[in-house]
Amino acid sequence: MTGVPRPDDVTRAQHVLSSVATRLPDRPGLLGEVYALARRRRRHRRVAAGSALMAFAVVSTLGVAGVLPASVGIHRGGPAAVPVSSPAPPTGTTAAPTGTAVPTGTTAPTWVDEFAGTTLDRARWTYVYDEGANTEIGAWSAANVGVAAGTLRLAVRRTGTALPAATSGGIGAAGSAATTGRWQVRWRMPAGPGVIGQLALVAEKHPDRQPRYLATLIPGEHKLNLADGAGHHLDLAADPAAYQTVALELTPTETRWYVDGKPVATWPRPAATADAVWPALQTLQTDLDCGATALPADCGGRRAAYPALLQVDALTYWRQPARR
Amino acid sequence: VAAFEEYVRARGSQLIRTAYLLTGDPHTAEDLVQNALASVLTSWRRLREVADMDAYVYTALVHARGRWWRRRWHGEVPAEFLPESPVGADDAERYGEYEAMVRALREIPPGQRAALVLRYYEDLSEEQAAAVLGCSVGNVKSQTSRGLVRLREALATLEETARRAR
Repeated sequence: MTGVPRPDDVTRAQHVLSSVATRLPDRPGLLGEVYALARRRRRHRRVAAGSALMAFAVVSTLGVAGVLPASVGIHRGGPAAVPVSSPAPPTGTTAAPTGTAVPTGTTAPTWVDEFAGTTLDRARWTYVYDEGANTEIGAWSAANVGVAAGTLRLAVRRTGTALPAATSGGIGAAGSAATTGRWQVRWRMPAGPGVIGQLALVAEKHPDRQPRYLATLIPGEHKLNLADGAGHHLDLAADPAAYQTVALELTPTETRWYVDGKPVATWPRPAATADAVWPALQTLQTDLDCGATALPADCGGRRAAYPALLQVDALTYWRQPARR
Repeated sequence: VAAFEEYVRARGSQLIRTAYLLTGDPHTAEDLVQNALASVLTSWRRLREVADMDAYVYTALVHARGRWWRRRWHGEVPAEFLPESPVGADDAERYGEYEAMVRALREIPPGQRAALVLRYYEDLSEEQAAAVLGCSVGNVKSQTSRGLVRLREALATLEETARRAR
C-alpha cells in the first residue's frame, strides 16, 4: 500500500484537484477582510485589556452550539488603565477547601455548584466547550473537563507541536444570566507558565458573546488579573498553588472585586455594560506567538508541566449584592 | 506589513482553494483562511522569522479542517459542496465531469484527502506534508497511496454509473 504511486494515479489526482480548485474564483477582497478580522481581534483584546486579556469570540465556522470562546491569549504591553480603588494584597490560603461561606449581609445563594460527585452537573452547566480553536495553538476538548474529590478540574494538555498543540477545558452556565449580584469562585491552579485559569462573566446578549468581566489566574506570573469591559484592570500578586476566593459584585452602577473576602477594587459600571451576564470557567494555553509549526524555544507553554489543572472548589451566585 | 500584504496578495486565493479542497465548502474555506491570516498578522513580528510561512498557514488550515470535519460528522454543518445523497444514474448525468470529480473527492476520507491536497495540489514533499499534518513520512506515504486508490475507484464507479445511464 505504501509503495511508489502509479504515475497515472498521480496525474489523475493532480488533474482532479486542479480542476476542482480552479472553479473557485479569485478572492480580491481577502486582504481587507483579514485586516478587519485582525482589528476586531485587537479590539476584543483591548476591551478586556490588562496584563492578561482574554477575548471570547464566536468563530462562525467553528462555534460550538453558537457559543465558543475562540480568540484568547495573554496580551502583553496593552494600555494600562488606572484602577479606581487601591488594591489590597491578596491573602490566599493553602487550607483545604471547606465549602463556600455566605458573605455577611447577603441572602442565601441562589445558584451554587460545589462540584460534589463525580460528574459535571449539566443542568447547571449549559455548555461544555468542545472542538473549535481557543487560540492559534489550542482547541477545546470536553475530555479536559472533570469533577473529582469535590472539585471541578479543567485541564490543559499538550498534544504535540502540530496545531493544535494543546487542548483545554471550559464550561459555561448560560441559563443563569443576571444583571446584578455576586459571583464568587474558589480556585487554584498549581501550574507553570503558558497556561491560565479564568472566570469570565459573559454578556448574555452581546452578538459576539463577549466577556464583560474577567478574573484570570496566571500561574506563570504568580498573578491574579481582574478586568472589566470598560477598560479597568488590576494585577494582584497571587500564589497559584493556594486556594483563593475571588468575588465580583455587580450593582447597577458599580463593579466591586473581592479577594478572600477583602475588597480590592471598585470601579464605576457604565450603563452600556449593565446587561445580564452568565459565568464561564476555563483553562487556556496562552502565548499566541507560539503558533508556529515548530514552537519557538521561548514559548512559555514549553515550560509548563502538563496536564495543568485548574481546580475549582465552588462557584456561587447570590442574587442580592452584599451590603457594606 | 508590506511583506504580509505581499504574501496575502500572492498566496491568498491559492490558500482559499487549498482550504476549499480540504473542507469541501467555499465559505468555510474563506473563513479558515481569514482566521489563519489574521493570526499571522497578529503575530507577524515573530512569524516573519519563521522559515516557511506557507507551512504555518497550511498547518492552521489542516487542523481547522480537522475540527470542521468533526463538526460535520456531528451533523452541525451542512455539506453544500459535497452532496450527501447517494450517487445514482441520474445524478452522474446531471452533474457532469466537474461534479463527478467533486463527488469522487467526497469519497476520500479527510486524512487521505489532506495528504493528496498537500502532495499533489500544493506540491509539498512527503517530509513537508508530514510536518504540516503532524505525522510521520511513512504515514503520509500510506495516506497518499490509499487516497490515490480511493480516488481512482471512485472515479471509475462514477464513470461506470454515467455510462450505464447513457
